[in-house]
Amino acid sequence: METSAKTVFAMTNSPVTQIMQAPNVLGYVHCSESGDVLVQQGSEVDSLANVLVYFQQVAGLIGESFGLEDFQEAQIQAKALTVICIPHQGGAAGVVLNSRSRVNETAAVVRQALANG
Amino acid sequence: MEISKLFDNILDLPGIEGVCLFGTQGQMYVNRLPSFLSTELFADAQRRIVAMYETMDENFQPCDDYMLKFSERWLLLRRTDKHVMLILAGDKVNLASTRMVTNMTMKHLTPTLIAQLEAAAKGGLALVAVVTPVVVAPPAATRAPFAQAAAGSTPPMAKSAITAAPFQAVNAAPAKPVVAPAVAPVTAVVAEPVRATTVRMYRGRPY
Repeated sequence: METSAKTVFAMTNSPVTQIMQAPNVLGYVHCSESGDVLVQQGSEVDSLANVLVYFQQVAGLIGESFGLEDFQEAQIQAKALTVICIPHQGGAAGVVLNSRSRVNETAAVVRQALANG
Repeated sequence: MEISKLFDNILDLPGIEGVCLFGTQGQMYVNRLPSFLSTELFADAQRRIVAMYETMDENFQPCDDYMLKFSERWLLLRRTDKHVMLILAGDKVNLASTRMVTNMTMKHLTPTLIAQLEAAAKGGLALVAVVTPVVVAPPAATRAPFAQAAAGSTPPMAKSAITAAPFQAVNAAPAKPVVAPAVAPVTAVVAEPVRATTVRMYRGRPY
């Protein structure tokens, strides 16, 4: 009984759960450096998973062109949604938000959840 | 409103370090980026940015705005129909303010203005120099080459070159040889040695 309670506690407090419970979050995807999808939850993440690692690599290269190092975060704005991209465990984590979200606040939540995880 | 003023408004924001406007075909229309960014490096960045836009459009969704955060700087990329505005900013910049001001700038980028920019880019005129006047050449020095041309010492300048003179302020090299002779006599006078002579005086007057 105690073990199952701990398991439930761990599941509800996993980084993915914390991120998905943040307001206006539609989906979450975590890809490895090679592009493999490690975690995927929610909607609108199928197509994001295909381009997430590429985007992160190109963003790093664009920064290098300007002498900027240590890519930390990207916010991608489409018409109906916003994507936050954060380097995570050698790969990339992407969070899809709807248009009503407060992107900076959600990014802080995502960053903290990933750091705790 | 003049295009230079539009970009001045962006640069007025605290933390904004540079802004530029370029076409998706590689043309640079306005460049107000810091001078340490070389053209070659920026050409690489331009190619990568265009590739990123195309890839994301085709494989994800059409996205016009990208904010890339690095350790000390932010890069904000905003796209209109055929143009991308790039803003380089420090990490303390107010992103919301930047978006508001760039919205206004992009609103003023009318098709007429963009056509002028494209014509200038095709004609090889560096609108960069219009926006960021670099050379402070004295009026006499800028007029001197025309005087020389009239005297026949140098080939006369074409009318188009005269009208385009403000755009080519960066290449105002002919002004330098003209300035030198004007300064030379002054230095010659100063360089003349002063000799010590003995003066004999009688009742307070030399004789």
